[in-house]
Amino acid sequence: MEANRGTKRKAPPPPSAAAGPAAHETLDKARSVDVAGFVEARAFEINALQRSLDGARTAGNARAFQTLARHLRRRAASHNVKRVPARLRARAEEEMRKSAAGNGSAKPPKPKPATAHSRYKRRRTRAARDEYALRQTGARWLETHVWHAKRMRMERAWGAVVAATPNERSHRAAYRAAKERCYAHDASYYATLELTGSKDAILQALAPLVAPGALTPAARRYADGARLAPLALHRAHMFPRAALGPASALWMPAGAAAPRTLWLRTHPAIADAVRAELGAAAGLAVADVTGDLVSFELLGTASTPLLAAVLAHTHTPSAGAAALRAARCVPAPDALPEGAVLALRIHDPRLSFPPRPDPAGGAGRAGRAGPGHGAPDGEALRAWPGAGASQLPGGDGGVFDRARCAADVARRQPEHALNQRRRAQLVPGTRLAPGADDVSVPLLLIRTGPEAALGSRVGAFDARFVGAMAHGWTLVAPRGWGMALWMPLVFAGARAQGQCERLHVSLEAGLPAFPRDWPGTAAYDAAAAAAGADALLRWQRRPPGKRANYAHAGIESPFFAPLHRLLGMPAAPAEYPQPGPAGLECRMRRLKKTKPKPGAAEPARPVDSADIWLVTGERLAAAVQALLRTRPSADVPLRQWAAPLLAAVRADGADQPDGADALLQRCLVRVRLVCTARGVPANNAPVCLPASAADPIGYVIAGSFSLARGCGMALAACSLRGLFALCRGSPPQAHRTVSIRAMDGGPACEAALTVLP
Amino acid sequence: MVRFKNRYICFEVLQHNQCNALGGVGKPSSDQRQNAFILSTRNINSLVREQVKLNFGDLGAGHIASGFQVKYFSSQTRMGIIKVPRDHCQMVTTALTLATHINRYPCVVRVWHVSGTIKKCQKAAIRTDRELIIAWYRNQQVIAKAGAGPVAGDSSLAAMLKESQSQISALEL
Repeated sequence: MEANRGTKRKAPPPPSAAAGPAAHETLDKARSVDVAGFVEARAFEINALQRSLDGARTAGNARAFQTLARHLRRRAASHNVKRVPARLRARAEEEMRKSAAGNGSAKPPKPKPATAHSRYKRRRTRAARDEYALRQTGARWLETHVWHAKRMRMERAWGAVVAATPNERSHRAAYRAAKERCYAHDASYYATLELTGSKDAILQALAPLVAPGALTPAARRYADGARLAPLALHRAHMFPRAALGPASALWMPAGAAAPRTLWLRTHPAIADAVRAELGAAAGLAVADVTGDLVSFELLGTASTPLLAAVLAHTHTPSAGAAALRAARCVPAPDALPEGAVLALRIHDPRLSFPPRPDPAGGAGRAGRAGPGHGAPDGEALRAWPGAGASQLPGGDGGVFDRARCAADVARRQPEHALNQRRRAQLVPGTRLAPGADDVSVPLLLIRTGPEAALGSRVGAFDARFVGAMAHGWTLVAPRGWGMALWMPLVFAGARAQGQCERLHVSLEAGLPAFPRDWPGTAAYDAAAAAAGADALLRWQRRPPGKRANYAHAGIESPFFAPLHRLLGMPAAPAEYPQPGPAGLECRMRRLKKTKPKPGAAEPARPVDSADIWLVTGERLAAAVQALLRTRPSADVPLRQWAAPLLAAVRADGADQPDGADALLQRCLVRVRLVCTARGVPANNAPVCLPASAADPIGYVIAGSFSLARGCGMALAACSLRGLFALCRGSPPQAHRTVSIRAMDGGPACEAALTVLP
Repeated sequence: MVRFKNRYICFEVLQHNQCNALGGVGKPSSDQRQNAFILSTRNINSLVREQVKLNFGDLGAGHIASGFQVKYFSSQTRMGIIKVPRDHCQMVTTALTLATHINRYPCVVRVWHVSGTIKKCQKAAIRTDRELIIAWYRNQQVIAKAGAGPVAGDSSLAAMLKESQSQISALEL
């Protein structure tokens, strides 16, 4: 038995007619007796066995709910048959019965008396809406909250509850969606401030907040809301220091009426600060309209056809709708001019839900129909989006007319009325036709891209960003239409992810995300402190034998990037956790039960990053990039070397020359580092001169493996002094290289450096 | 969890028409048709258990007491698949080979395929059936050419031949 186990048993040779019919004659004769039955019986058996083989694939191996795709199974369905889709329910019921029969010990379920509700159930509110309202103390829920909450882990941030990361592992899927298909993001937490007043008053109020001489909303291209104006805001009169963050401005198209309206869209972290800076202006009314709008961000190559398919049912024909239709066949959104604004008015999106893949060339499943479907209309695209695309015809205020939007939402058909109409359809599944009682939805479609993230126009830098991941659309709609627009987007194939994935996508695109990648702003300090405290806690929870030994690796500040120390500012902010020697000292004291010496502890000083000059804007970044190509000799001082940069800043109307030294001392430049060999930069890793263990010239703010590039990459903040030392140390070259230290004491990784605007 | 490994044996029961049944049933050979005695899974079950007990004693019978099962048996084609624990596979195939009678009818058991999964056994059964049909048809052609008797079977079988050949080779993969 054992001897034969190794050898495979060969199949016996088939009975061949050639090899001696005489030998098998008896048997064959026996077979040939029952002619009619033989072949039929064999054929029947073959069919039966084949059928059982085909059905056996999933019958025994997988339960009914396991055959579903991952994203269609959201609940444990082994104990509750109703959680399985209707088409599989019969099979699931049978499986449950079979397994129950298998368990001889399973008791039949006890019938529950009607009044035996738990205390929780008895105290619930009548309507889920009231309960949800109760839960929103401290942080408001976005309109798509429940949808996200079922699929993602949520976190409280910036006064709202946003999705942090999905429940499923989808890091690469998120990247692919943003690159090739469509990535959707609910950006309704973004703050919008409405400035009403005369045009001059508005511009005067904004002037101290932006770089003087920079392109402001006063420019002709932004007039009448044809384009979204990117802004980089600073505290009043403090340019170039005290950056607040990026923002976008959109004019409301106005008639002859005097008071103009400007919408300022900012990140919620700086909304209060901006409002405070604007508050003092006269002749201006500032209102917060965040709650009156919902906005969705779509990125990716297939986002244009997807939007065109979802928003196909326009209520009033407008130039904006025509522009969207014409844009459908453009291969990728970055081919269309950035910042363009289209105004549409569409029928109630719930009427045509779920969206169907358009045979004429839309995108049902994003990426399947594909971009570039159909021949682009050259004439329509040459002057895209064309005059008047940002305005609705006939004096229709669109999204800006908040009163009308609120009235429309109040009088729209409730869901059960729509369901009744659907039931009345002759052919089930037919989309509802808009009737007299149905309302329409005004929308703003904005072609967003790196401008909004950077706060300034980009020209030459654009080519280096990774294609479609930096470009996309923002859909702005009135309050109340959040879910009605979100569901068709998702059903059409847009992939929704959380904040973590959104940040990674912007890192892949090489763009700084606010507030994580804007050092020198108050919002960055808060975010970095929170992240650092979180990381420190996690580090402390690990037992000493198993946690990373940063002291041994020579990393003094592994949880936050000590940019203040880098720029020579007074002291590291006290609320930043210190795991270094001071932390160790605390621990030793605790063990020895001694009291700290008076005066030895650092006094708690408030964080003040207002002194830092963060280089933003394409002009300044280009100046720094040009400086990097030079090699200053040993006797050239910093001020002389950086003169072109100072000139560029002074041209923007900045400080006096005697403050130049102080200014340069505090100058922080954001750079993109792409590793040239192995190694992935870690967050807060020191960036040093190549082949040198000297003081770092900067720190990594966000580092990760880039799927687009196939190597590690990072966004880092370097001091201008550090870049000066870098240029001194090596001959001028196209790309400077730096080395990034490893947090575990391993070999450093080399990276090529590029300046970010 | 320790894996209990099994073997699936695909076999066929062949019955001689010439021999009379032992014990003298007394029917004339012309009336004895192949399908006179319809076999069932119960027959196969008892056949194997008897043969194992006969040849390998109580120990052998005890080995396969719990793990042995007749998974499939077709009385029309006499093809079957039985499951045995892996350690006693050789014993059961030996017992099958040594079987001479089934319920007092003479028979020969031919083992076509042994494998660890039932899927492969089913595929082997399908393949064997196809080959048998092809061989039978070829035989008919030979008989017809020799002028020995009436040709049985359709001419449509010719087309089925080619299809079966390609399907058999597809099965091999």
